Amino acid sequence: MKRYIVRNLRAIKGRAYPRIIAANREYSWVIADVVLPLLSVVAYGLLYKYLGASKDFLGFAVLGGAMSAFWLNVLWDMASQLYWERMSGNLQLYIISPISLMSILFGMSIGGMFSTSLRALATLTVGTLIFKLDFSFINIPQLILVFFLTLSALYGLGMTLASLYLIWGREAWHLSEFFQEPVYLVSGMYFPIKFLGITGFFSSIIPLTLGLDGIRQLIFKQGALFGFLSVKVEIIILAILTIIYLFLAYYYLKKMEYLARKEGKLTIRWE
Amino acid sequence: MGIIKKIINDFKASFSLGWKIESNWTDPFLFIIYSLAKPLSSAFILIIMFIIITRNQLPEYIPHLLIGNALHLYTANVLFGIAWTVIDDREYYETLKYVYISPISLFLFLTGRGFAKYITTTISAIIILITGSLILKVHFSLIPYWYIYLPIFMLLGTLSLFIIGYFFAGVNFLISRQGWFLTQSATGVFLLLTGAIFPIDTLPSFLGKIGIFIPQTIWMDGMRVILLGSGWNEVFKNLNINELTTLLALENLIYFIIIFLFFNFSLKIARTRGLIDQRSMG
Repeated sequence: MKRYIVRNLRAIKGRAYPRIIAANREYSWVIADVVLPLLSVVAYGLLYKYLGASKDFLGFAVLGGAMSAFWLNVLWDMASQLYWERMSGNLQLYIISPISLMSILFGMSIGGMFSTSLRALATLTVGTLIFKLDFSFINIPQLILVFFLTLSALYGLGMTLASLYLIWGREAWHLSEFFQEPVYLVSGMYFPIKFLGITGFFSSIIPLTLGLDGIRQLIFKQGALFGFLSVKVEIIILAILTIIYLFLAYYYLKKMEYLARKEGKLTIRWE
Repeated sequence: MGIIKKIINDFKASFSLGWKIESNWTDPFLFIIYSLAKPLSSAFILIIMFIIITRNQLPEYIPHLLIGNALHLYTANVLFGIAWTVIDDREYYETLKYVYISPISLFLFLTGRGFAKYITTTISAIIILITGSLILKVHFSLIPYWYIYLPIFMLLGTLSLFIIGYFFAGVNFLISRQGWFLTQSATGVFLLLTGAIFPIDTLPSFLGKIGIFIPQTIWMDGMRVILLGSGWNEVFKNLNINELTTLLALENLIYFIIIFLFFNFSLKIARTRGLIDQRSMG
């Protein structure tokens, strides 16, 4: 048992390592990851400015732009990753090696969270400088808790999607395209989710919705005014979502692995 | 006559290929849903932002926003579609070298591939306009002879999109993995500088001035004039639709000459340096 745990810890480290190193290796991608979300953020910020919105709304847009990096990371580098691994021939190696696929995905999550946090921080910093934002840190321990619970639940969702994407095959690219923008809308990435009414209730299954709402309430003066639920309730829901998504990820990975072995699809490409 | 027939055939073949790549490998139902979900979502993000702040007190801005957003879709998709074809065919499908040595003009090949994007974008843009108009009760105030101006302006705008697309395609022949970033960034830059979702007067003056020299800025303002009776950007307010049409045609001509030369030059450089079949994305 001890050897199994050590092996899986090594697998986590081994899978996280390239993502952390890659974050500092290819500088053109760093620019891409920082500049691209920033362009939308600036455009949305300028629209708010043009309409005479308060600085907090500019802050909502900047924070949304920063957090959108995590959603992009989950969609493109988590959910569709196993599909790409199969295409490149790595998936069969993962499965025949004496480790859990959860460890591979967990390693990817840690690496992804690290590199994406750097990009999100850069977007937040540059956005803050451009729009001269005011932050009022209301409760820092809660802020840290909400942030990490959001990431845990979000990457749990990413792990679940990874196994589903593998089953769905070639649609992976289109599915990521499909989920990208609509989630920006229903999770209130650039505006408080409160204004979507009942939609906010359903979109709360995407951890970004409550995470963003909670963070906004904890770092902006007007945040609580536009809050969807109280921060405490959001923390509880995010914790529940984390557990549910991790369980679903475990279940679907086992199922996917079984199906792939049974149907001999582990090595099939272009399908 | 033989040349025209060949041009039409080349265009048809590349358009058909583009359409198949765009749609054929996806379940048609899923393809329709995702083709619509993405543009509709981005349009509604802006509209909701607008309604939240103005509390629906400035309804006259909504049509401008709606038109700008629908037209920006073309900028984003067609421009990206043409430019991305170079990287996609070179590095993913690894077919660019075969296209290059085949008796088809790359210029025409990219036009056909971009046109496939143009068709799908048109469907999305029409749906944004119809849905937005119905939900937000937008009234269009068409100018006299709009039925003449609208197709002419649409054609000129389309030409401007393709011309700028060739520029990015030309750049993509010369660079490798940064191509994705470059074309995506261009889309973001155009969202900022063309007055798609706010007037360019809102920008710092030097940035606003850059926007004047982008054909899409004139295209969007002209389309607003035709459909709503007035433009959005202060700088074009004194120009009537004839003057805007002339200005857009002139900008197109200048851009076309420069970009056509640049495109051929970059293709020549790519061939000399052996970049036509390079692989840089793993």
